[in-house]
Amino acid sequence: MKKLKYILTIAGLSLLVSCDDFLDVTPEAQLTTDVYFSDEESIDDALNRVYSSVNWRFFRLGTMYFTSHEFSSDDVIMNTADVNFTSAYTFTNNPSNIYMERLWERWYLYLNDCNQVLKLASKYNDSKALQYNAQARYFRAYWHFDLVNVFGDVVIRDHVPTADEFNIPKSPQEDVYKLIISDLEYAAENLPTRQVWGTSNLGRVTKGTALGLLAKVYLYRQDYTNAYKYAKQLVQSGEYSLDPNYRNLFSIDGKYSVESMMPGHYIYQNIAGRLRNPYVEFQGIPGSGLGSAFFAPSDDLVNSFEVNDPRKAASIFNKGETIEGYTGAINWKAGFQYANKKVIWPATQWPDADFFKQQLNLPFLRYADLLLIYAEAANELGNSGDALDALEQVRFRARGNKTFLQAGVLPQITETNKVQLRQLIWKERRVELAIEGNRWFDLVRYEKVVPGYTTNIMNNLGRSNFNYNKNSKFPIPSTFVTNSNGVLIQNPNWQ
Amino acid sequence: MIKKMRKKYLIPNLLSKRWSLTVLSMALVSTNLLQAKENTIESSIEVRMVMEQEKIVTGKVISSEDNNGIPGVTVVVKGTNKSVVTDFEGNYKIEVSSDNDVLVFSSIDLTQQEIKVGGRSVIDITMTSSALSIEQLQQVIVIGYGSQKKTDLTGAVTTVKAKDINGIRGGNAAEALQGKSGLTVVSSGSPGTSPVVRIRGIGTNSDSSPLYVVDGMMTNDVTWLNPKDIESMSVLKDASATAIYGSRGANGVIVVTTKKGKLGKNIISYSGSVGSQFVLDNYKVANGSQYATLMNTVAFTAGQAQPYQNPSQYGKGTNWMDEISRTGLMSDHQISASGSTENVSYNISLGYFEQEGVWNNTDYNRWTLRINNDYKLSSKIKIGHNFNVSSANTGQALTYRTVRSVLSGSPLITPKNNLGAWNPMQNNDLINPAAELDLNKEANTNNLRFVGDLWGTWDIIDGLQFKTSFGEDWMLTRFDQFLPQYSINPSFQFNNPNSYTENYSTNNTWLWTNTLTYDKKFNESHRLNLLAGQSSEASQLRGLGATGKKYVVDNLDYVSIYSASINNRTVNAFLPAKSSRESFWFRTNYVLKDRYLFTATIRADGSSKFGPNNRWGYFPSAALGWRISEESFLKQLSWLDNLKIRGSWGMTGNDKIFNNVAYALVTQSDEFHAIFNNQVNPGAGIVNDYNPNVKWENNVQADLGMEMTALDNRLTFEFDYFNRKTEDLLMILPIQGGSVGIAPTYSNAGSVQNKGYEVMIGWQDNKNNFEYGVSFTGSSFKNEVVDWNGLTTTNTTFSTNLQTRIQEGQPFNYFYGYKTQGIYRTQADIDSWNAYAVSKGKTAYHTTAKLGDMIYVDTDGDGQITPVDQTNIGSPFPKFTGSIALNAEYENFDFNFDFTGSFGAKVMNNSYNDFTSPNNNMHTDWLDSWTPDNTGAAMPRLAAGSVNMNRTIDIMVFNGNYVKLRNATLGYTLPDSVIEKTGISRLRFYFTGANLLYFTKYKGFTPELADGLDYNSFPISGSMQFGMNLNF
Repeated sequence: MKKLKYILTIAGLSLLVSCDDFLDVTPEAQLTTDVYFSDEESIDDALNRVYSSVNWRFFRLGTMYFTSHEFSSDDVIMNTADVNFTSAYTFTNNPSNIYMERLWERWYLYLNDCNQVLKLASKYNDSKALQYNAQARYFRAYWHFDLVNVFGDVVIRDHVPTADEFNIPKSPQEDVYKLIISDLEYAAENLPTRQVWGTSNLGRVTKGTALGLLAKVYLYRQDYTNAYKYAKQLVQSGEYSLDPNYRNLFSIDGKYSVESMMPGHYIYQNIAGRLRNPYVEFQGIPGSGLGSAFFAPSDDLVNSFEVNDPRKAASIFNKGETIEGYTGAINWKAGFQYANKKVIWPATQWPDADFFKQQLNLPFLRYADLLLIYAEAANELGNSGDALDALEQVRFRARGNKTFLQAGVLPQITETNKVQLRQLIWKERRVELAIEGNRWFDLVRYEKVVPGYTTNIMNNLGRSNFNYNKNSKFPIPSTFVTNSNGVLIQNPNWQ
Repeated sequence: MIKKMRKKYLIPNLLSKRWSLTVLSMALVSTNLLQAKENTIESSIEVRMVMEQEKIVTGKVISSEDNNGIPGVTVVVKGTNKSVVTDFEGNYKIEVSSDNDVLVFSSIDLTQQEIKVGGRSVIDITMTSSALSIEQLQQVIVIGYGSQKKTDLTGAVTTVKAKDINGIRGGNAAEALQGKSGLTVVSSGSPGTSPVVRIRGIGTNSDSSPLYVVDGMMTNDVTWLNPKDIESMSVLKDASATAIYGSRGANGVIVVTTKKGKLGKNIISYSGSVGSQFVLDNYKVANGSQYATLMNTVAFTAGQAQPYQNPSQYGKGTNWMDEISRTGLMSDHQISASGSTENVSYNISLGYFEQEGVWNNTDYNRWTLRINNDYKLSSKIKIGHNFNVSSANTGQALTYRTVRSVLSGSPLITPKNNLGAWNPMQNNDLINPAAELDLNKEANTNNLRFVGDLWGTWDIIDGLQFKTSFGEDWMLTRFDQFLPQYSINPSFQFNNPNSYTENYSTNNTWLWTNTLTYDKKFNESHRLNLLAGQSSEASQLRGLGATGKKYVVDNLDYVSIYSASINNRTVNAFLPAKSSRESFWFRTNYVLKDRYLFTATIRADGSSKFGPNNRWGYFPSAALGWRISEESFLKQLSWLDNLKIRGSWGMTGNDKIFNNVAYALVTQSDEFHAIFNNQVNPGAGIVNDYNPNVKWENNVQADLGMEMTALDNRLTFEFDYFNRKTEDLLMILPIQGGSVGIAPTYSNAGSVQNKGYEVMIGWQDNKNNFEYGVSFTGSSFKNEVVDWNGLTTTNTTFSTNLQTRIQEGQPFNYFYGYKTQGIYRTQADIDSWNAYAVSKGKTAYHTTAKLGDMIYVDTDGDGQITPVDQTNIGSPFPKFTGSIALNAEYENFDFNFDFTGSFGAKVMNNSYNDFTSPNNNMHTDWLDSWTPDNTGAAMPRLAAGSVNMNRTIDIMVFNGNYVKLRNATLGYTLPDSVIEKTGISRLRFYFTGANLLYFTKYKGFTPELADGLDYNSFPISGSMQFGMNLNF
C-alpha cells in the first residue's frame, strides 16, 4: 500500500504539469493584433509603418526603385553586369527579373499596410480617424499609381482581403485610376495643410501633397483640365513654395524644405544590417568606392542643361571635381566622367566618414515639379500665359532668385506656340528633376502626346531594342503569373 | 553526507574489502533516507539481521568469462528483505529460513538468476554478463524507452557499436552512420558543423533531420557529444520503432546510449590521435595564362580588342584555392575511468577534440566532460545520472561570396599589393577571399552546454518497474567578433568603422519522463512487455547582445562593449521564444512461443506550437513478426539459425514549425519606423497571416522486412521494403498572385512519398586466429511529390542561378531549367531551327540565342523557346547508396576498411556557368569554347548575358556518382608478454585514413550534397591520423 502511495504521489505530480494550461504558451515579446490595437491611439503605430515605406530603410529598395524608375530612361548609363539591372536599360527585360518580382511583392505589402490602417480606423468615427483615413488613402493612391506606371493593369487592393480574395485578377487601368483619384480627392479634402500640421509633424503628407499628386495623376492621363485645376488650386493655396536654394533641396535638411511635398525619410542609425542608405548606395562615383555607382548620369542628360545653368553644377559631379573634406583620391572607372551630385555632399556630413551613410533623401514630390505640371497643363489648354509664368518661377529660382537680366543665364522663355512651348517645358522638366525618378514615366507619356517622340530618342541613343508598346510597361513577374494558376494574366506584349 | 559519499565513489580502492562494506552500509542508509523516514528503524533491523546467523547457505559466484569470483553480487532471499553481497573473491554467506527459499543473484550488467535452496548449504553459481559482451550487445537492441532482444524485434532498426564510432575522423558521432542502410549522411566538411542526416529520404518541406535521443534526452544534434563516449546508436527507421516518439519520429530517431561503468572491470584508459586533413580539389579553374586566354576569347567573340597580349607570359598566377586553404591539423584525446562495484558503477571521461579547417582561420575545438554513474540504493531502487558538459568553439562561417570569389577570382590579381594592403578583385561582385578569411578570423562562437539527466528506477513487484528521469539541456551561446576597419570592395567587403559584437543566448529545455514497464513471462510460451509513459517538456530561448564601434586602437585586449563610448554602442535584441510539449504513450510487446511477435504502440502528443483546435495528435502503430525458423518444419534445417519476417504500419508526426503560428501577431521592426521632424516613431504592422487550425504533419509508413542468420550465425541477411508517405505536410504555401502583402504562414497541404528498400548481407568468421568479416549494405528509394495542392513552387537560391521546383508527380525540389541539345555551330544550324519555328507558325526559334550558343530544347513543341520550355533537368536523390566493409583481426593486427558509394544523384553546380561579370574566371572546360575559329568546340560561346551563362540549363547539372574509401584503419595491439609488467592491460597503435581514395567524375567541390545544390560547399577533404588506445 505504501508503494501505491508513492505511485499516486508521482502520478499526481505529473498531472500537475499535464493540464492543458501547460501547453498554452502565449507568444513572447509580441502582442496579438486585438491587444496591440485596442485603442484608437495605437493606430498611430500602424500609420507610422505606412510612412516607413519612404524611409529607405530596406536595403534592397534601391534595386527595385532604380530598376523601375530610372534605368529605362535616357538620363543614365549603366555600370553593372547584373542582368536584372541592365535588362531595363537594354529593353531585354525578362518576366523573371528578381528585382521587379520584389517590387511587386513590396508595393503590395505597402498597400496592405494602408488597408490595415483603414480597417483599424473604421471602428472610429471622429476627427482623428479621419486623419488616419486620409493619410492611409493618400499612400494607397501613391502605391497604386506607381504600380500602374510600372506595370499597367494591376491588381486593386482597396481593403484587407479575406483568404478567398488572396488570388484575384488584375483590374483595367481605368478602374485603378478611379480608385487612385477617389483616394486622393478624399485625402485632399481631409488632410491638414503643412501649416496646420505644424513643425512636429514635418514629413507627413498634407492637403497640398494630395492636390499635387492628383494633378500629376491627371497629367499622366493627358487630362489637362483636371491637372490644371488641381495644380492651380495648390499654387493658389500657397501651402508650398520654391526653396530659395536649389542645391539645398537635396541636402540633409532639404527633406523639410518648403518645397518638399512628400519627403523621403532616411536617417542614419547605428543598427546592424541597416547601416547604408539605399538611395545613396546605388549611386555615387563609378570606380571610386564612394557608392556602388551601378549607374551614372548619361552624356545626354549632362548635355541637355542650357549653357551655364547653375542647376548643372548642383546636379552633376564631374571627373576632376573634389569633395569638400574628403582627402582620399577619387578614382574614376574608365568610360565614366559624371556622377549624380545630388547624393554627393561634404565628407564632414558623412556619418562614420562613410559616403554610404549620408542622410540624404529623394523628394518623392516637390513644388517645382508641380509648377511644371501646372505649366504643361496650362499650355496644353492654350493658356500660355499661366504656363510661361510658372516656367519662369522655376527658372528664376534656378538662376539664384535672379532675373535673366541680373544673372545672365537661362533666358526667360517667351514662346507662346503650344508645340514649341511644350518642348521647352519638357526640356525644363528633365534638367530641373534630373535623376529624381520622373524622367522614365515622362518619356512613357510623351510618346502618347507626340507619337514617335520616345522611340526616336531611344533610336538616337542606339537603344534600338526599344518597342514602345512592349517596353513602356514592365512584365508582371512570372513567379506570380505562374503561381496564380491562371488568375493573374501576363501583360499582352510579354505573353 | 552526500558529498562525502561521492568522493569515495570517485576514488574506489578495490584492494580494500572494507571499502565495499562501507559502500554497502552507506548505500543502505541512503536508500532509507531516500525511501522514507519511518523505514529507518526497520532498516537497521535489516542490517542487524544480516549479522545474525541461524541456517546458513554459503557459496561463490564466478564469472563465465574467466572463472574468477565476482564481487558485489547481491544475493536476496526472494520475497524477504534479507540480502547480502558477495565479497571481493565472490564469496557470500546468507541465512535462509527453509529449503523452499529461492536465492536471487543479481548485479548490474549480469543476467539475474534464481536458484532454489533445495536442502543445499553450498551453492556455487556461474553468472554471465547481460550487456557486456559484443555477442550480447548484438542481440539486445536499444529501442525507444527500453531495449529488446533482436530476435523479438518487429521494427526496422540499424545499430552501430562503439567500435564503429571510434573509427570516425570527425568530431560528430553521426558521421559513423554514413553508408548504413537507409541513411543518407552528408558531412559539410566545415569544422564543427553537424552532418546532414536523412533517414529513408525526405518526407517534409521543413527540417528533415532525425530526432536524437541521448540517454533519454531529446535533442536535434549531437555536436556536443564526444563520439568516444557512445556505447551504441540505434537508428529507428520504420513506424513500429519510431511511433513511440510520436510527433517527433517522422524523420526517424537515433537513440544514443552512452557508456556506463562495467562490473568488475575498473579501467583507466586513454585514447588519442593526431593527424591532418587536406583538400581534395576537383574544380579546375583557369590559371593565369589560361585566364588571359579566356578573356581574349571573350573579347574576340564580342568583337573587341584583345586585353592580354601573349597570354603565356602570365604563367600560373594566383591560385586562390591555395591562398586560402591549408593542411588542417586534427587531434583528439580522451581519458576515461570506469568501473563498477555491486552498488555503484561509474564512468568518467574527459575529452578534447580540435580541428583546423582546411580553409584558413576556420577552426573548431571542443572539450567534453561526462560523468555517468549508477547507485544501487536497495535491491529495488536504483538512481543514477548521465551528465555531459561540453564547451565548443567554432570559428568563422564561410560565406557563399567567399567560395564564389575563390572560383571566379582572377588569377592575375595577387592577394596583397606591394604595400601589403589587400587587393580588390576584378569586379565588385567578388571579394578578396584571402582577405575575407583573415579579416573574419576573430569570429568565435562558444557553445557551453550541459545535457544530462537524473534518473531513478524502482522495481515495484517482480517484472514491474517504474522509472523517472529528469533531464536538462542547457546551452549558453556566446558569439563575439572583432572587425577592423577596411574597405576593399565598396559593395561587399567593407567595415567602417571598426566594430566589435558580442551576443549571448541561452537555450534551455527540461524534460521529465516517467515510465512504467511490466515485463513478464507466463509459463514457457507467453512473454509480455508492457510500457506506459508520460513526459512533459518545456523550452525557452533568450538572447541579448551588443555592438560597439569606433575603437581608437585595434587591440583585442582593449576592445569590448565597455570600451566603446555610449554613442557607439547598440543593443542587439533577439526574439525570445517558449514552447512546451506533453506526451503519453503505451506499448505492448507480446511474444508467443518465441516465434509469433506482436507490437502495438500509441502515443498522444500535445504541443504549444499548435492552436487549441488541433493541439493534440495521436500516433498509432502495429507490427507483426514471425520467426519461421522456430517452426517445426524449418527447425530441422541445421544450417538455418534464424529466419524472421516482419511487417509494420504506423503513423508519426512532425511539429517543426515556428512558434506562435496560431496567433495573429503584430510585427514591430526597426525597418518600419517613421520619421517626423527628425524624430523616430515606432511602427507596427499586421503583416503575417496566422492559422489557428494548423495541425500535425502525418507520416504514414509501412515496412516489410526479413531477417536471416545462417551457417552458425556466420551469415546474416536483412532486407526491408518501405513505403513512407507524408500527408498534411506542414508548409508555407506562397500566396498565389503575390498581391496580398501579407506573409503566408503554415498550413497543412500536400503529400510526399518515399518508397524503397534496404538490404544488408554480412559474413563473419573466425578460423585459426584469423577473425574476419565482410558486409554489404545498400539502400534505394524513390521520392515523389504526390500532392501539392495543384501548385508548383519554384525555389531560387539568392544570387545564384540555381532553381528547383516542387510539383506533383516529380521528386521533391527537382532541378528546373532548360534542356539543351548541342551548339549552334554555324549559321546553317540557326537557319534550320528558325525554319522549324516557321513550320510551327512562329517567326524565330530562340530570339536571344546567337551563333555559338546552346540550342535549347523546345519541350512543349510550340516552335519557340519560352520560359515554359523549362523542365526537369535532374533530381538530387541518389538511386542507390551502399557500402562494402571489411574487418579482419589476426594475432595482434587488426584491419578494417569500408567503401561507400552513391549512384544516380545529380548535382547542380552554380559556378560552372556563373559569368555574372564578363571578367569572372571560369572552369578550364571553357578554354574549349565556341569561337568563329573553333566551331567544333566542346563548350558554347563564353559571353556574359548569353543564353549559356547564368541560366539554369542542363550543362551545369552533373552526375553526382562517387565511390570513396570512407575509412581504412590498421591497428597493432602489443602482445601481453610485452606489457605484462608495465601495469598496462592493453596498448594498441593504429593508423587511420578517411577518403584516401575518392572516385568521382563530378566537376565541383563535392558531390556529397543533401539537396544537390553546389554553391557554397566545402571541398571534399581527406585525412590521416595516427592514434593509440591505452588501458590500465
